[in-house]
Amino acid sequence: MNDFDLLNNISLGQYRPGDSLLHKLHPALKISALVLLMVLVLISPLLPHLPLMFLLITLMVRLSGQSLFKLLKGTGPVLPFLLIIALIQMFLIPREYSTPSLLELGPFGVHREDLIFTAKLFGRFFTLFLLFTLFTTVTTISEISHGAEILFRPIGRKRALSHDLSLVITITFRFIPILAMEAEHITKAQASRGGSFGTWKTGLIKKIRLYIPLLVPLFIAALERAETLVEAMEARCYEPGQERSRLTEYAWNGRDSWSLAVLLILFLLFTGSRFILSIGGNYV
Amino acid sequence: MSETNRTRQIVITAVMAAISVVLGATRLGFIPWFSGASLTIMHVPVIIGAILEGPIVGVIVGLIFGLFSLIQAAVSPTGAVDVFFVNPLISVLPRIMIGLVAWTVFRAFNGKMTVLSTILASIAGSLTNTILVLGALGIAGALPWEIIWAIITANGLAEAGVAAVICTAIILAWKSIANPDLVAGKKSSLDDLDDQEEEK
Repeated sequence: MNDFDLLNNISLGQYRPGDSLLHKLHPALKISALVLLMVLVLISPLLPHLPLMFLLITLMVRLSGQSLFKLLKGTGPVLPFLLIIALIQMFLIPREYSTPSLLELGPFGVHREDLIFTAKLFGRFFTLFLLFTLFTTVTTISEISHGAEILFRPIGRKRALSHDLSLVITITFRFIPILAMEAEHITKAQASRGGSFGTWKTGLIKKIRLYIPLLVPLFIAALERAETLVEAMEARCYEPGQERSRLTEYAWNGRDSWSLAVLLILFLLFTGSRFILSIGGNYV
Repeated sequence: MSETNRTRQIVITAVMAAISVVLGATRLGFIPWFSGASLTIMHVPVIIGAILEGPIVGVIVGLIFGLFSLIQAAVSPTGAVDVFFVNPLISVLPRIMIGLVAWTVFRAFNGKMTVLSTILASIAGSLTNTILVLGALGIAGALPWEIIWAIITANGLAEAGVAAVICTAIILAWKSIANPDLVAGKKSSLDDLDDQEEEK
């Protein structure tokens, strides 16, 4: 019956309460740091930037008081897939080779470029994995929506678009468990009426006929909930496009300024050295 | 755009984004398919949001869907391709286009022929998703182009068909609930039973 426990399958990264420097940072700073570091990881060459980035994020994990091993545990399920990808990358994808192959296996050969590409791919994956897990570990959902509101403020100040967007984020997170429960109820109801989910029927038509009695009620129920929410908001005099205050305000303090300065210096250092390296013709 | 519509747009954007997240997180949004790669229907909420409430809603639902698939690929990866989805150019950018394309096609009909325009809009939106995501994967060097063409023809067309059927069913069901005039002339078979009993 594990197929029906839909609610337990949702793992969006668990928030772990704490009192560390990273937990206490301003939410807008956390989100912009996430974006900046993500860009850095995506543009960084294999050597020496990628290991340095990984080291840097490991340092941040230490600062947040979490254990590195626990955060990396989530990669477990993909490790077998990584092997498959490595094989595809090494043998199947043709590249421009400048060096003779290092190892011959029948018709296939392993080249230096293949190894570099695969190493870069995995390095980026693990670094980004750690980054996102760290972010969701130290940031609550209300902090995300508040931070997004502050960051979006420059666009559409007149009609308070930023507030609308942060409201969208809040309602989305609020609705996820409700809809997951709804989906669970509908699946159980249809299964009790004879719907056979999880079996390997070959016909596409049969499969669609199986999914329609599941999806149509799910969408209609969600849209009806949306209509009810619109009415409830209007009955309580919600006016879109108005400036409004919040229950909790996050203050910007000296610690945030220092962190922002460190972050910006790092960003400039990394992008600068990346640029210099690429002029030197080193595309590794 | 009246203010009432704006509250509705905010809420429907959020609810459609939540459905897309739920479909992805519970694996309900993946239909097992014999080519190995599952058919996805996670983009259906984006198309429905775009058809019901316009391009901005479609774009924002697509943005949240893309960001969520990026976060899911990075935080709880489940498949081989997830390794590449941590790149926002692959996971976010193509998804923003789904809503725009679906709305443009739906709009081209000027509100006439709801069924036909919904079918065409969902096919266009679905194909946008398949072609742009797989094209981005190909440009990133994730898979050989031969495999990508095979996936586009094997999965993309089936996905477009599934999306068209599901979107049309949902849009028609919702529109006939929202304004009963659409089905005013029609009788359900239950009404026939009532008539028969009255005759007796």
